[in-house]
Amino acid sequence: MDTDEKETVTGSFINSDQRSDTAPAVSSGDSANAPADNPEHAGKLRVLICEDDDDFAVLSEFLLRAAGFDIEQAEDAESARELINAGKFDIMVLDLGLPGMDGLSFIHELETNGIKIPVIVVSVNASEVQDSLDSQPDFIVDWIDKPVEQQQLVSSVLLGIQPVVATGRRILHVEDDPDIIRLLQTMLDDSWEVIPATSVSEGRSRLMDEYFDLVLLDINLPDGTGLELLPDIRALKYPVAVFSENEPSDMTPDVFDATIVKSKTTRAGLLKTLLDLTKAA
Amino acid sequence: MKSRSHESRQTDLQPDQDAFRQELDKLFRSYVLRLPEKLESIVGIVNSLHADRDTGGLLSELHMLVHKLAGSAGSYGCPDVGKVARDYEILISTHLNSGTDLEPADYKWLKKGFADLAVAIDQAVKSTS
Repeated sequence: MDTDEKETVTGSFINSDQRSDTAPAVSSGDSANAPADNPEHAGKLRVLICEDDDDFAVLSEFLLRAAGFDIEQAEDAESARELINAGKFDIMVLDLGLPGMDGLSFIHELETNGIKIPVIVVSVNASEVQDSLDSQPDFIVDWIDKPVEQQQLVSSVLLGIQPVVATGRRILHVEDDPDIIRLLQTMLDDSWEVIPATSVSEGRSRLMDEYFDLVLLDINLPDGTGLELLPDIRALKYPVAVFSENEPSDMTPDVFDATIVKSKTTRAGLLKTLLDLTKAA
Repeated sequence: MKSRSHESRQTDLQPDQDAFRQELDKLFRSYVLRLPEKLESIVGIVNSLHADRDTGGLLSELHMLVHKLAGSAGSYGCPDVGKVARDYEILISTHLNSGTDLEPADYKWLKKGFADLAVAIDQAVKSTS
């Protein structure tokens, strides 16, 4: 890819020189069991696909690898159990109609054993099964009926792993419009710690006093422009993105790691951008 | 920092949409072209069921094959195949859950389900060729 090109993620642009690949960031939490000795796995989130249908497994792996995830496959619950016990996975995509132990029994086993890997249930009758349950373990993050739309699986995984990867991550959101501050907080879940700063001076003050993983910047602020903060942000080596209502004008200096256009950004797209940026940091 | 233009290039969640789309199309095409093989496996079981009146393992095997087809076909861009397979799967599943042997009358829906599947697969293959 041309290094002068921007990469677009559903309405947001990430400068390619800020990313080594498309993989979302790995949690700062325990990754001791990840295969760190294999450079191919470095920095990638790991998804376990437990699926007995080869065709669906191949398609799921293709879609998730293209989105930057590292994939392991298990064709039944027994194999999945072994893989979970042997290594760390950030999320599991689980079919219900498995040979041997079915997916629902496997979920109950995980719950009984206190294993809280986030699970996305993908099955021809996922909704039906979900409706039939009086309660469900809180580690099930989504139920998806087959057939699956291409973006649906990737989006679901991205949203499902959000608590895993975002916990403890701090975003400085320099923005004076309370509606936009609320919008960002609505699009992200509580895993992220978003600290608003409504002026250049407040932004500068927070940059000096606190640690952040990422800065989201508005250009027009009551006491100046967000651009005035760039030297401080760069000195601290924080990734910085414009989070704007509309496409930036040609007059906006192109010195940001990403441009996120709110009107064009899905939750999954925003999340992937933030994960990519914080990984590059 | 290099200068870049602000022109938009919408590519959803994939970094290189053209290459991604080409690979995905290849995957889809390969799947569709393998559908007749899956149909052969299914007709083999239906014929065996008719000959042997075996309501145990064979019907479960048929259910498994049709269940997989119902789950994958729509995801591979063959919604009609997926829908017909799902309807067929429900019929087979209902009979399996009833715990009764296959009666001569049951072969009618078994063959009809297969015939519907054959038509849907034929159309999918033709539209891909």
